[in-house]
Amino acid sequence: MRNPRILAMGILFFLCTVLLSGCWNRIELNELAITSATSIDRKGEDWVVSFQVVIPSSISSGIGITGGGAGAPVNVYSTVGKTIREANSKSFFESPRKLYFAHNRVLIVSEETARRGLNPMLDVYLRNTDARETVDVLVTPGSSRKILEQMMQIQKISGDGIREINILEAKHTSVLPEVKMYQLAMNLASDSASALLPEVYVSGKSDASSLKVFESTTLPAKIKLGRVAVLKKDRMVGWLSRKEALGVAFIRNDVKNTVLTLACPGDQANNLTVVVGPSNTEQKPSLKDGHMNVKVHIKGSAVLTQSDCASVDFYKPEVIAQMEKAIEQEILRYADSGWKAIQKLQTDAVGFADMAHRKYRKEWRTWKKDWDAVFSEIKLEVSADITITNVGLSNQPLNVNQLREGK
Amino acid sequence: MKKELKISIDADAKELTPLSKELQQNIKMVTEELGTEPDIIIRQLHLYKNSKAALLYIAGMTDANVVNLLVMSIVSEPPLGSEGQEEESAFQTLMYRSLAIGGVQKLESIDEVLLAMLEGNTVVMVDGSVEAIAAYTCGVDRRGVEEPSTQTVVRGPKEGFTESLHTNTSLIRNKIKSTNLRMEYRIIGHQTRTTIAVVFMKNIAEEKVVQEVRRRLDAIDTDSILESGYIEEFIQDKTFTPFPLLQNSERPDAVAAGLLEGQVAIIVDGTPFVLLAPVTFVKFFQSSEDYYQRYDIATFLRIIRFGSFFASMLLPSLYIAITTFHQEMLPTQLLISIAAQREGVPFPALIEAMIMEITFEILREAGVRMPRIIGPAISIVGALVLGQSAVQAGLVSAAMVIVVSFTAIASFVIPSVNMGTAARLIRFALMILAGTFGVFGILAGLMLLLTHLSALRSFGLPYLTPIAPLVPGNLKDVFIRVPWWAMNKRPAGPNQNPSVRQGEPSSLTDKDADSDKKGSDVE
Repeated sequence: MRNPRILAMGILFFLCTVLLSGCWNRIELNELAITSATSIDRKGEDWVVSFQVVIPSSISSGIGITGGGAGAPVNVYSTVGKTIREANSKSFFESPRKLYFAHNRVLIVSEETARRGLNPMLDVYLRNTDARETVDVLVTPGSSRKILEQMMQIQKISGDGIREINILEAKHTSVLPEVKMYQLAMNLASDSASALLPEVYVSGKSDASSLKVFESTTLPAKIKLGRVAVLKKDRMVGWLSRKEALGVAFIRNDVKNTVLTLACPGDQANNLTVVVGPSNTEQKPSLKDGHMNVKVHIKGSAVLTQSDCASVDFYKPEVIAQMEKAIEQEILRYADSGWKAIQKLQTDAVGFADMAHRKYRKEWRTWKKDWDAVFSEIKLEVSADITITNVGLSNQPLNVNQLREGK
Repeated sequence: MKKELKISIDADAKELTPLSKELQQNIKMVTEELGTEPDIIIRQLHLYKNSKAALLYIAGMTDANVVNLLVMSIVSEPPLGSEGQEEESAFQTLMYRSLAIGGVQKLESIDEVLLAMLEGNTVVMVDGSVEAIAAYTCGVDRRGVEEPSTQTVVRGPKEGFTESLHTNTSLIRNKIKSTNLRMEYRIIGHQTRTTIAVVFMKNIAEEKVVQEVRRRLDAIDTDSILESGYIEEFIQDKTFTPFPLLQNSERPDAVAAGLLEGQVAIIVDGTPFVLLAPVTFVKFFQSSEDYYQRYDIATFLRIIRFGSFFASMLLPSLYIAITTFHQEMLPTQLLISIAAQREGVPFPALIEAMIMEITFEILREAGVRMPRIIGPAISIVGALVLGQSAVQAGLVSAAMVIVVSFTAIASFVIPSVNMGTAARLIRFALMILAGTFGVFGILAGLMLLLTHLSALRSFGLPYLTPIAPLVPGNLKDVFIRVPWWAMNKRPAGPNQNPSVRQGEPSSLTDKDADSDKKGSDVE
């Protein structure tokens, strides 16, 4: 500080910081259009990108001058361009604020877009810093913009709601996976070159794109998760039903928790429901005459949550053993149907290619030229080992008549 | 407890005017210098043998009772014919026998007489003597020992220093009844002639530090010392820093604790704020209450204090940086909520924050300066008009009001007011950096701050001791406060001789043991 030069430099620097303010990427919150969901459709050769933009003042009941809670929570609009980014940039022609994607929760891709190839979309997301690779990707049959327009129960921002549904579903039933953009890219770039994406669709005949739907307790249309889309290379090749999808999830070791309902052992008329989980799948490849076979062993525990079976005493070990067997059989049926489905689609959605590459590197060199053919030759052997850890608080099915008789 | 009377004139002062043999001549000289204002009291007395005496003092500076006693002792002198009376002169009788007063001093010049009067002594002059007697009758009306107004505690002594130097020294002596407690007086200020006491523990404080304090105090050449802040600015190591390099306290227990850890206290007559040196950064986060309550609670509170310090320094700048540069760092719900609040706010976040922070600083300053009686009115204006209405009018966002309020409250958590002020000052610089460079700017600012802090020294002691340089043994009392039984050694630092605080015989009288440790002793 004694040196006047240094002092002068210091003052100059300070003045610069004041005067240059705003030259950088500084942007105020009320100059941002926070995008909660994006969707991609195709129209001819053009890309149609739709944005679900949050209107903060109607989401949060702030006490600012704008008040709160009156209008629609989000605004949806679409732009068209030869590329996705061109379409994005078209938003400058109509949006008073800059689109902001860091808080984008979901990306909805229409089935047509998925079938025509997702490479451009992956490029956009992996190239740009403002687009997050942690966005959840979902597929919808028909127009994907329609998903963004729908109102949802409880959650005001449907983009956020779809993500929550997806996460919750993946955690508790594991039928549909929750796939983030980077996972999708990794899966497609792996040896098996395939990926699974959850399906989201609008159920109901009319739509729920107006706030008026909240005047009644029943929404005329609902956003729901459906099947699972199978992608090969960067294109979608088909759908898996929920049953098939759960089977694939078992083989892939993607099941955290799931709910199975099956017929009572020795009593086909009544059902019981168990929560399976956590389960762990072990994949063991083997080589025989140049052919790869895979043994899959599913090990897990189960909790009985409902039993309508005729009086069975669950405290008897043999009854439990019978039930475990039934659950195992059920899981095998699921796995079998899933396996058949992906074999039919000739898509290695279970990721056996990576296993083969790691385990049989010599053979892989020849296999990788025509992995589809090798894959269709693979014989899968599934076994399961389920332990029932808990049958709940009552050992016998509850029967009111018996209770009344004082039994 | 009366101090030793010591009336001395600066060595380099002009030649002294000797007293005259004539009493009236002397009185005339005094009135020429001091004037004949009503508070200059000259009481003439007749002694036996027709000799005359006079009492000179300044009303209001002296204790009336003591002066009365003095008069009584002069006039009730033993009558003529008592044994040994003949040989003594009247002056000697008064000086060595009859004055009923503790401290007396012989004065030989008129300058000394004037000084003695100005300091509150009563001067007794006897006709025919070229010497006068200064009797210690100081007794200024001052407030009693009250609870400290700025450094309050829930548990702990409720007494605070006062404006009287002697009360203050007695408060310290009452805490430390040791022969090692040293108090060195000196007078600084050509006009104010303020008495300053340098207090230290001879066996604990490092001699080099004491020497340095003496040296710096002696180098002060000024007209007036009205408060310890004058001294602080004269003797601190570095001027261009927002951080305090001397600690001040109005708590005798805190000063005693500092003395016992080797700090040197500087007490200035006329202010309850006692300076302590040398000091480290962490000292400002230690409240004396930390040592009076359970160690776990004290530790928790100390961590809260450090957290509050950083909050009061950083919170507005982080808010600005995140909302204008790094929106992706916020959770989505929070982002939308803040964005909703910012709808319609016309200013950028930086300007918004500046407006609110400066408003708060104005409010705070007004709160300190305004007459106590209009306090509630200001509170209403501050809280309602500036807080709520500003948000409703859409001038600032509610989140910003929360940030600023929290910051303001956090800055008052720091026990030391001047460290809190430093944080407030730095806050503004960081806000500008945040508004221009985002979190990057904040980080750059913090790096600069860290460099600055590590370059600071207080009387030769690195400011960040014991963190940098790292003194592992001292960390027992920095972020955590370990139980008392675990603090066996004094923190190294102000006392470079790591001395044992517990677990060995008391060092109250073992002077040999510590002169061995330190080598040369000046005392």
